[in-house]
Amino acid sequence: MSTPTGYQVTVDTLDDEAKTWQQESNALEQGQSTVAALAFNRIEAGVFQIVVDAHTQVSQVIAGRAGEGAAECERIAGLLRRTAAGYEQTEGAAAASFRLLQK
Amino acid sequence: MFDATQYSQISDRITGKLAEIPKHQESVQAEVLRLANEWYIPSWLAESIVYLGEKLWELANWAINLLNEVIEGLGAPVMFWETAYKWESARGIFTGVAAELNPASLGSTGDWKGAAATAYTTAITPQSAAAARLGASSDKVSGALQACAVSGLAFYAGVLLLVAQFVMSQIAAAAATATGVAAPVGLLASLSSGAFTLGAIVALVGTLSALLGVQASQLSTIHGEAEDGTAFPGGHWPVVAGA
Repeated sequence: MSTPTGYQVTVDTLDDEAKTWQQESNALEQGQSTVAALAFNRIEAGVFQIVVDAHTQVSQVIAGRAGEGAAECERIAGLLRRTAAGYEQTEGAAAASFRLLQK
Repeated sequence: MFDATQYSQISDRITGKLAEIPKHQESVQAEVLRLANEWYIPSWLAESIVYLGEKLWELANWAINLLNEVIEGLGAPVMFWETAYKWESARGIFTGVAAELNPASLGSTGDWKGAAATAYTTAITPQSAAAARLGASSDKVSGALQACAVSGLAFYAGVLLLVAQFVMSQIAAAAATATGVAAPVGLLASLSSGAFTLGAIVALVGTLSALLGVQASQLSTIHGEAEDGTAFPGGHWPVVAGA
């Protein structure tokens, strides 16, 4: 096949970008589980308890944000993949009708 | 800096010294009673020796209770230190995402145009900024935990010196019983130096609590930043509108 032009470039670019967003979604998910594992669970820390409690809360909220980020990046990846698929379908249909005309 | 090896030595020595206190408590008591019953000790003197012995016994009980409370947190500084390192790896993940979601390399949508395409391209920067914020917050949490670990090390190093001093005051009390009629002077000196030492431990706890309070409020500030509207509209990760 010759150098892709027009819609093919758009489809390829959107697919590539979808891959990036999916990767970053996975990375944020990893960040979420890393941080969630850091919350000190029910430990007795005496005089340090005040820090332990504040730390548990901050790790929960940061893990929560990371989880939301993973979901949003995945949603964006999906949007890009659907858009790319839509282009392919439209162009495919157009090409098919064109071939019919040529017969 | 926090030195894990040094910390574990301090920690072991504190628990070791703490275990000595009840043993000395028993032996001081035995010596005091032995002396009070010596034939050459007049009854009025025996009474004051017994009285001082009771006070030394109570002081040792106070020391044991106080130190048992103090060592409840003995595991915390090491845990803070190790967790601080893990926060740095979380920071690496988040800043990596922030760098990858780069508006300069993403958002070339080719023929794709219109509302959805615009919504997508304008969304890249806020997504990247949100990840960068999580990276910055993780770094700050790590810093706060490191500060707590270092304060904890300094605190327990101070406690170790004072516990050792307290044990010395108990040894001095036992030795004072060998001085016969002069014993009350030595017992009183041990009592006051022991009480002074415990007071110093209480003061150290106060200083540490103040330092930890600062770090706890720093953690609350970071907590607030993870809900702040600039990077997280409505307290949540930014959502691409119309996409």
